Amino acid sequence: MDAIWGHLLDLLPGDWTLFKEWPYWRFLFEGLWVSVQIAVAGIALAILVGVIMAVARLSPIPIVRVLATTYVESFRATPLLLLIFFVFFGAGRLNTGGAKDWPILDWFLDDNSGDLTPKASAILALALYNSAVVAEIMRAGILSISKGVIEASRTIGLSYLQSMRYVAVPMALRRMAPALVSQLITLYKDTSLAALIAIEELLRRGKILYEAPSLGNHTIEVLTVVALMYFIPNYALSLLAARLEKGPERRAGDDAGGASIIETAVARG
Amino acid sequence: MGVTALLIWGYFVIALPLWVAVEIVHTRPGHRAGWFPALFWTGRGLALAGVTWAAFGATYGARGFWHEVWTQLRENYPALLRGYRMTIILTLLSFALAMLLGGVLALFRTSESRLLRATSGAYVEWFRNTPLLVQLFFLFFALPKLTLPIFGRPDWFLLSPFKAGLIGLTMYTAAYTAEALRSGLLAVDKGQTEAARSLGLNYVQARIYVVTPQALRIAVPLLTSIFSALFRNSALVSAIGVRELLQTADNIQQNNFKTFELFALAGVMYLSLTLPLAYASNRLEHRVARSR
Repeated sequence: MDAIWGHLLDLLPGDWTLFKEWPYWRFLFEGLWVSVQIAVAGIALAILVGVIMAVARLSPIPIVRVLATTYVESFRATPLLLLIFFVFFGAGRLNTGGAKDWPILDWFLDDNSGDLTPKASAILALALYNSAVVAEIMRAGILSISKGVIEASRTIGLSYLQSMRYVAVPMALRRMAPALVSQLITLYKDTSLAALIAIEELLRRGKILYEAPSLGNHTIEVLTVVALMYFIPNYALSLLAARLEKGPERRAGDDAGGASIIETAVARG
Repeated sequence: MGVTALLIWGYFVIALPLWVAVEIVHTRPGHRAGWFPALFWTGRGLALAGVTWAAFGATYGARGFWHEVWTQLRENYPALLRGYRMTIILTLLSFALAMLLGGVLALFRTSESRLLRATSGAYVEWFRNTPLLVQLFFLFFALPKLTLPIFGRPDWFLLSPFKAGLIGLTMYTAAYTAEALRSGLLAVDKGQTEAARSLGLNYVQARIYVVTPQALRIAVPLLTSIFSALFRNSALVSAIGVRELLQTADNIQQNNFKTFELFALAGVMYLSLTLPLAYASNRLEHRVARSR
């Protein structure tokens, strides 16, 4: 197997000797795993906060609406790299030492100092930005549900929050699934920014590999492999998003507004 | 009481209640903030400032966080404005180029030739599904090491940070503008092309004079949000050493350790353009939705 792989690589232009050996692949795959961890934690937090913000933005209480709008508009309008720098440099000044022994928070804190770890600050910054985007997607989703459905649920005795929790949000989540998958693509691409705050994720690992003087000159090859490691999962996800968009969820009778909302959300990447 | 404190308190006592009022008028169904839109977004930026001030104020003594930010602005405004100008130049240039490239790609994507469709599709998929930072690294670090079969290693492969950033941002954004323009082209009714053809225009003329202008109008809301994304993405070129806004703030910050103040300042400078843009794009979307 190894021999075949080596001969196949020899057919390509460029010097691929590095990728004939497993340890270099493993070095990159470890980085890929960190990237995936950041992406998954980021999207989970983002959807959690984003749904809450979307519901708050449509709330009948003005002050809730205003606060949620401020949150969404300001985090969506800031460059992500700036947010990452802000959270990363700010992590040292936050006094989080006391939460070191708490059940879930301790995943994000350094064992010794009790500070936010670099990885956690990247996750936090990504979640801040993406929760604002997810909130916009979800708001568009909730608004695209016909008013009658929500009014009907209010008539049968559900409170505003209950009608959101049991009727509007589940429907909107299903309708907005393609847009959320597209946002996951953007988020996975954005994990590469964590390389700039010295987290050893995929891009950083690649940079270490091609900058190592003892390994020779492999910049193009390493960056190609790194780009492919971003491209392949993302392309699969974009096919999934396209499929979801065409799926049984898009019945006739859905208002045509849905399509442009999804496209707007996708273009925001 | 210093000037800064006066401004901040003045904001909380006068501007914030006014802004809340505008916000309520704006979000009530059937009403729009037609009057005084300026206050609408300034209020948002200032509210963010207020929240940050409240969050950090305690650690900065009586004069407060934003007083420090103001000091930084006063001391470093020439450099920061140069960085801001660079960010804007990069954004405008690469948006113009990306519109051209994206337009060509969109026309390819909707053309009748299978080869052109495939080329354009591959371009869009590749550039949309790989990170911008990786693309920038490719242009800046890998391209100079590329040896071509006949040409060898041309000198111009060694790009300056500005050129690499410009090309990288253009190629990345073109993938998005291509998609926006394509959806615009597809949204134009087929009858338009047929009518133009029956009037005697040939295929290319019909595309350029009849279909494209209508497609552009449909794509405007999408293009606004792409422009805003491009403006924010331009911060990434600091990673390859372009002296734009974020890089400038970072450089100053490494000398005087006023980390928060400078990044907050940079944030406000970015928001000064993206918030009005977001507002404008919301209005545009409303208008397009109503005109349909």
